[in-house]
Amino acid sequence: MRRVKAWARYAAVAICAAAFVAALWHAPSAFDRANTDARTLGSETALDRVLGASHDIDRNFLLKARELVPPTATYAIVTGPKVKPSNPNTLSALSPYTAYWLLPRARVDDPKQADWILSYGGDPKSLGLNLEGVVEVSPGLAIAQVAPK
Amino acid sequence: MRVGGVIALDLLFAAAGMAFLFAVGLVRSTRDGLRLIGLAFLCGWALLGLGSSLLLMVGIGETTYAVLTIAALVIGVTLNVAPRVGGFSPARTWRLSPVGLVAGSAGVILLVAYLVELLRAKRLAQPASWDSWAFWVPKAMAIVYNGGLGTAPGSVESFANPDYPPFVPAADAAVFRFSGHVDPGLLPVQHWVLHVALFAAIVGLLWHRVSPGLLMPPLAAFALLPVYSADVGSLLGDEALLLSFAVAGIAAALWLLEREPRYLVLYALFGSVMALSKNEGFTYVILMGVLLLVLSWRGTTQRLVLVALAVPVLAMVPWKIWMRVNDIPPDPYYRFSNLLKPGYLSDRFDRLGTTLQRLPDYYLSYDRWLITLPVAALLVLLLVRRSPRLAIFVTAVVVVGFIGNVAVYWISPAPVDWYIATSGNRTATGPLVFVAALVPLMLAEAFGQAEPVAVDVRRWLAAARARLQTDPVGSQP
Repeated sequence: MRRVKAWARYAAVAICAAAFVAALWHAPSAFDRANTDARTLGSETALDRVLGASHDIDRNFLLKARELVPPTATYAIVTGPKVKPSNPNTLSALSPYTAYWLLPRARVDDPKQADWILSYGGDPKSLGLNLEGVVEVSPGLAIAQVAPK
Repeated sequence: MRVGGVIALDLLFAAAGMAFLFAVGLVRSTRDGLRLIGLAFLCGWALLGLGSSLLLMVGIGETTYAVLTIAALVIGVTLNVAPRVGGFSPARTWRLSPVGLVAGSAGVILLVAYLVELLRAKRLAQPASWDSWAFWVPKAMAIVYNGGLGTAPGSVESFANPDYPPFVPAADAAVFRFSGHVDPGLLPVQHWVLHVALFAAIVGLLWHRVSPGLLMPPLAAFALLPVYSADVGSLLGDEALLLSFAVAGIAAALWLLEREPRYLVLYALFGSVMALSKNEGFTYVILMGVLLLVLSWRGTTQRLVLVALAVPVLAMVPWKIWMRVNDIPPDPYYRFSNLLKPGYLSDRFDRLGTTLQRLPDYYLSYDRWLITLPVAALLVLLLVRRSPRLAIFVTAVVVVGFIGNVAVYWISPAPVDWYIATSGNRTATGPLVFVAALVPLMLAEAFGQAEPVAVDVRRWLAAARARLQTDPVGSQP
């Protein structure tokens, strides 16, 4: 096995020092970012934290859906032009976020297979389903149960 | 109940992992146990996660009792095996100098301070990144609500990326089970604990070869890497992949330096976690295994490497069978078979140019990885003559990993700018974390802290056979 030359040892130490100096240089912003995250989360309500990643999906809509749709039910989401979210990601987040938020309720793609219809800007009455008790959460946002067949 | 249950699960990880390390011979004293407590925790997490994944794939629900049964089996089997396996407690090869003490202390202080700060940031966190709430966490929730895997609406496979293996959701589902509540808010801190265990494991594995002065400052730098620290507690599957990539990589590197077969056992275990965490994990573990095979010495050692490489491959088989039985389609974002179609490739040549122009930034950017790759490149140059196998191993994993990523972006049908922007950080994370975890070892090798200790593998196997013949029941110590 080759003996390590002195210059190689010095080079190794210099490299170690350079890596550590780079970390030290970055450390204040890293600590600051972690501290900011901690403070932000600490200042929010539990609901703010839980729904923080919802991309501005209407909170009352999400909360009402959880309240009305039973845990064993299926639901479908319909969208339409009655709601124009200011956040460009809201509509693309709607389906996957609701699927996460409403578990164990199961999302189905076909409204005809669903027990409930969650309408985000759409018109549930136009689906041709027999709906019971349409709850209008706010203009353009409605939740309705499909009558049993 | 919630936090107490999670603590109970963590204690179970530590117990099962410690029994495993005892069986393998890496822990045979209290001192070894303390040194390797972090590794024991990760081994327990890996073993129980793999066991839970297997149960799910054969249709058995992942209940608390199922996880306890797996732990009892692991402890029972490993304690039975232990008397037949000799112990291995490597001697320390360095002496602590005053400069090393100061540098090591500075590294420890910075590392611990930052980990504590990360805990503060994660204590109240919820799933924040898109993929975490779109499919990683819902899959874990679905396992609990539905009692296992499934393809019906609301089940695991109804979420995005149904072809991803089940280790990560299974591991998170265990947290829900033991806490008695499906609360995603429990997961960020639990994942933080895994990362703390990672650093403890790296210290434990490298302690005999790397002095604190060369070990702790690079580990502190590792923790502070921007993309890595953003991943801690992110609840993405990348966390499990990078944790297991780091440990498997260190185990593989130690094998190359010491030819101690026990390190291959660790490579096989954590390589299996890599394979069952994300699809690219399987690709990386095969890459590492092939490199180990090529770089190993002929004969017995290569046969041992083949056995170790076979374990992650076999770990994937039940998942592939489950996918076939349940008609789960493969990932639509890339089909490697397209690499064999010249016409297909030439039609998308502009994607190759875009990828080669943009992807290197995800590996080299200071704002993402500080100076990790330049440091590693310089160390590789220093190691070329002293530890050529280690130099080749590290270089090949990074270079081939990069080429693999380029190939994926080239052949994928997804819009290339969008695909790179949304996944570039994640695809670079595996190789960069692998390199960051190996920097202390490369430094020590370049510094000349330890002569490679070559275990005579044939003599080791002969001793193991003799022990089995004279004491098959393992009644003698």
